[in-house]
Amino acid sequence: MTLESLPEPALRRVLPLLEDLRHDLGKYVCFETRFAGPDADLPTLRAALRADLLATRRHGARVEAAWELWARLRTAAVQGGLPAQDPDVEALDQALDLLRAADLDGDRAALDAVAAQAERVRALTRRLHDRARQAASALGLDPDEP
Amino acid sequence: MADILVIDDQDRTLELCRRAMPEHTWHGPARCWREANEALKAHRRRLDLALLDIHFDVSAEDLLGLPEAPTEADVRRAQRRQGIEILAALRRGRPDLPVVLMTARGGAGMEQAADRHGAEEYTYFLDDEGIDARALRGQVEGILRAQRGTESDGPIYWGRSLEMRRIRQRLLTLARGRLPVILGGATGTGKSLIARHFVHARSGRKGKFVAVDLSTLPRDLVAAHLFGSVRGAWTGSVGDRRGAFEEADGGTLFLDEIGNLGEDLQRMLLTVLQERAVTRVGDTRERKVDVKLVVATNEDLAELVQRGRFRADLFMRLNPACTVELPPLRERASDLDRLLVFSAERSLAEEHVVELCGEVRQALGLQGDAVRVAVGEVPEARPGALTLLFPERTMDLLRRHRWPGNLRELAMTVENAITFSLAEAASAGATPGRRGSGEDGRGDVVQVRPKLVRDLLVAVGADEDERDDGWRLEVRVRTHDGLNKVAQDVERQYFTRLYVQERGDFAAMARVLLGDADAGRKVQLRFNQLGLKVRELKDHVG
Repeated sequence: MTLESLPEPALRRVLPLLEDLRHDLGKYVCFETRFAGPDADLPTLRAALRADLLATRRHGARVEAAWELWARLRTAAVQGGLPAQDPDVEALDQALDLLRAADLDGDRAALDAVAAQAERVRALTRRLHDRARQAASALGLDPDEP
Repeated sequence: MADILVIDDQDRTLELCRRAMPEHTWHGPARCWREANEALKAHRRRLDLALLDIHFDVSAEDLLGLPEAPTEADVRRAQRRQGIEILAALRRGRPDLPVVLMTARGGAGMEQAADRHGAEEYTYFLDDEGIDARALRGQVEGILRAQRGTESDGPIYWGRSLEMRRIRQRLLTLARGRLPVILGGATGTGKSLIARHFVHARSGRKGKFVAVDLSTLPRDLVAAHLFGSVRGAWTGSVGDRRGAFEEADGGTLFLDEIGNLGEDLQRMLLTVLQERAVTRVGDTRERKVDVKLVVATNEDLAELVQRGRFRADLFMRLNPACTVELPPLRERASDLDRLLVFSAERSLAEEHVVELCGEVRQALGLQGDAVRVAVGEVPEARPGALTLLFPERTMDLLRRHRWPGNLRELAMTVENAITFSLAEAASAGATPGRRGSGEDGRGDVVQVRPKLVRDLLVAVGADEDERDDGWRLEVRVRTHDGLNKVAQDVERQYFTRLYVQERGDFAAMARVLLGDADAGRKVQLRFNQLGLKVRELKDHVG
């Protein structure tokens, strides 16, 4: 089952949750890394990845790592009706597992690979949200007023 | 260098901006509208730009735009669109502050919602999913450059307000066309400066700029001065003479105080405009002229037409539909600090002021040549640089002044203030034991003291409407059958006066009455309670 096959009420529930996902996880999972740019030196890249992955979202003193954030937002979205078997959801599961297992003390090549994985998470959250918006439009809904 | 406010519930944007663009002064982060509002008030005259996030993960009490008794879904929805709500609130008090809306969507929905809150010229969008230091720097620098690029033209300071930017744009269009331009506005608002340095300069015309002040020419000489004369046209006319129209052929003719033109001359001017040809006094031969005409007046020409003092046909020939009205200085409050700095920097380039600065530097033992102007706080010392400081207390006086002489008065006040302050500093520095005129005894700072400015402002006798302790205005007290009615009658009068003065802007009225532009709704309610009607006053506010 995919996102596009959701009935209207489920799509209405899922759309804002995917917007949250895109913003909270997708935006911040590679925020500082992207800001540092591809030419950043190794210590800067490492610090940026640590900030992006280990403290993706900060709520005062409480911080959430990227995979914790994914677990929380994924649960809410799946409860809302998002199919866990959707290919992008499965790809996100896989990508977040890889990020969780990543060695942030690795060499340049290893850190570049982690950064690429974080970027992939961003692209997947964006695609998931865009697909939901398109599905809503196809049903005659205004995706900005779900 | 610019002052930029970051409005974002997360600290990271500010941290990254500080790291990526250390040359700017960063403020914030303001994590909700309440904090943003406080920051806007605290830095209201210094902010150049705001970066605003869309999504605010804050609690319900810090959210704008929630319905009464909100559900959890309402809260989440308000969080997702909080940036739009904040933009709307911000625009009520700061319609012309450039705001970069950092939106992940970048889609039509958010942009349309933002556009609904007006001031599109000042709202920019940045896809924050693609944000990196280079992209952000590019956008910020582009906005600041665009803003500063149109802030001034030579000796003209347009400022950043929406109204002045629109005036500039309108004049730019009119300058390129063939039709005449009418410049309206009170004395000292810069009409002749704009005619010469903007309209003529941007007209693309190769001929000369010729200015004629019709209020200073003897009535009998106006015709000859404007249209020229031939030998023997009158007693003592010993040779042929070109008039202002011929002098300005291929260029621009600026007629100041056009309302002073007598009936016969109005007719002659009308003929010139119709025929595009001029006939010298005493001559019969027509000479073709190609002149861009700019006229200025501080009177209402339409009213002069109604009273029969100005020909209707000439008025229509002057392109009245495109009249450009320059606002008085008191209505350019948001730009006053920058106008003052602009004016001060121009004064500092005057020869006698340059000499004075040299004396001050010598007396204070400063090595460099640089002189900078600062407003409010004492800036960090720069080696060898002399700082001319208009401290906050001095600025308060200047901001509250009504400026009846407008820009001309401001320029003179600033130049006098600078000259006297520098002269005092030079003599104090040269006197043993009296060095260090600035705050905290900083030897590189010359302060423009409030007392000096107060004396200068009082000296022009123009400080009658507003003083340190508030507004002063005349009201008529009439007899009623109860004290409440008397009080309301008086209140109605000052509300009306203030409404007209602030051009119907309740936020601006609230700023005057309550010191809080956000209390506009409260002021509007009172306005309604007093039985005042916007539609009845709208003709007075333009």
